[in-house]
Amino acid sequence: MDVNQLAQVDWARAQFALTACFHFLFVPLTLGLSFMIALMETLYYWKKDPFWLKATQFWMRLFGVNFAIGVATGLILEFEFGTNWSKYSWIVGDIFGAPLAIEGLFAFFLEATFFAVMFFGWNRVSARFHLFSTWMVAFGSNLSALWILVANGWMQYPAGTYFNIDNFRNEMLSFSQVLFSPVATFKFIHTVSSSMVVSALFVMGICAWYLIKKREQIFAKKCMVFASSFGFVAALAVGMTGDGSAYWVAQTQPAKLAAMEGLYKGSKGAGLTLLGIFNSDKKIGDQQEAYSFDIKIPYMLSFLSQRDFNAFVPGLEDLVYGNPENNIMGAVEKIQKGKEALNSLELYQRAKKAKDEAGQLKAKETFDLNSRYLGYAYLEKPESIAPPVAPVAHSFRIMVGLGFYFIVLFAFVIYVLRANQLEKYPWLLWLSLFSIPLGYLASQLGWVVAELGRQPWVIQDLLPTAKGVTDIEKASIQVTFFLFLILFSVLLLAEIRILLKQIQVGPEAKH
Amino acid sequence: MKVENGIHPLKRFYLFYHDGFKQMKLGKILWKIIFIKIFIMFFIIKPFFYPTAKFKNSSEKEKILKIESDFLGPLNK
Repeated sequence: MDVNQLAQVDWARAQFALTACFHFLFVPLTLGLSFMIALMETLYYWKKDPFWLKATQFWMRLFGVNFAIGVATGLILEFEFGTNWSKYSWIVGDIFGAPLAIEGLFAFFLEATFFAVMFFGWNRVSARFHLFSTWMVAFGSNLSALWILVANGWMQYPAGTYFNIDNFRNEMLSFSQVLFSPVATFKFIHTVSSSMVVSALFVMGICAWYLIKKREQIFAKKCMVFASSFGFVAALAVGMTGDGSAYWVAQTQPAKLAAMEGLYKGSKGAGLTLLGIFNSDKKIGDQQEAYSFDIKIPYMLSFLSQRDFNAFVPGLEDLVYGNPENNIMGAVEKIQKGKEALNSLELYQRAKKAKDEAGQLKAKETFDLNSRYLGYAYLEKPESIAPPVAPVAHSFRIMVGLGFYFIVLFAFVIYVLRANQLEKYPWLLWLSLFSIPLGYLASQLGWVVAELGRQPWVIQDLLPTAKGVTDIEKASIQVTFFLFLILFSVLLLAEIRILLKQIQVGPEAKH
Repeated sequence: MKVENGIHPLKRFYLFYHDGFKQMKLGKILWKIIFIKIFIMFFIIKPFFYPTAKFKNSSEKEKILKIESDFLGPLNK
């Protein structure tokens, strides 16, 4: 790919992806480790065992490093909304406003207030109030994530709103429909549980390093039992919520599901591709096979996506060209409806300017009939509805594979530690250590599937990504892209260095 | 407000933070990083590279007209 050929929208996307991926290096540890610390402190409060106090304070120190380096990086995303995505921000403003404002309040009041008590409050407030503060930090940071994910969930499935044709904005009809949309709900639970897995791998990996170095052995073994048990439960929850998420993807974003599976031709009783070599040259409508080799579980895709072993699962070609036999409207027809919506929008504006009330009413009726296809009017060709299949399919498969690997790893670590047979499996310690980055990889790939998989839409079916970008110079976005790359790299190196130093010092040091 | 151990609650609140910050070791480095980062973000990146966009500065009516012309653009081609 020639970088000079990239359009302004590509640079705006690249910059947003860079910032979001960097921001999400810190978020999972904040979300998951906060609960682990709260549980450790609860054990200390309950059992009065000083071991759990030492464990709480050590992991709290690493939590603090991660939080400090990551804090405020999310604000850069908000700069980008304003500058690079101002049209998008206008169109979604009312929907994003409420969740993001609540997020700000939660972040400020819950996290900021109780964070200070959590770090400064040892021996200065009662043990009970300190424990309460630690739990409040855990709930506060996770509730902050809830509002961000509600906003993201709405972009994937714009429920509870309508498009106001007078001001070209989406406006809220029902806050509860936005908040409790199944897409947002599963997205939140899946993100939180996967963050718990990342944190459990982090704690387990560091404990493994202590054991490899034959340091802090009692501390490391006990924390490893704790982390592997916590991680095992969280990893099972990730599997269950992942299933729920995929089900709702099938209902609301069938092109994303088809891309995740590399499914071009739909079928009844569709099989789930377990392993495969994807043919990257495959194009919609050609005669090539999507996989040069694959292993499928028969009927499983139909069951997982429609809860029926014999249900029809549409492939990309069905979604592009339509499949009347299975009641699938194709993008060809949707583009036509989108153009009718756009045409009626123009007629409405003309009638409004001419103060022609009857004309306005008629145009609005036509618009309302077709408004859910509005975004299709801007697509150049029906094939544009397909996300980039190869990166989505590969990311999905690696993420799911890692998810199963984590379940097995946690279960095996629990078994080995319970049976006191760690000496028999020295490689398990190395495996645990090198699994720390795998947790982050799975987490990032999850976002690749979610965000790349919904292309070409920035708001599903309503606004293509290219229509949301601001008319600014490509060079401005390029400069800030590289500026952020440098800033983020420096911050990441600082975090890794400080974390490594703290791990080297060990649990005995004071913060 | 209830005075406890002869210390006014507001003073206790102040001392809580004052002593907390004073006793920090690792925390001091982290706060420095936070301040440097916020300085770079708000005083370098935002004003120089993210000047308030023309669109953002427009009135609501101007914004609607701009979005309208963008949205309806394809029909006018």
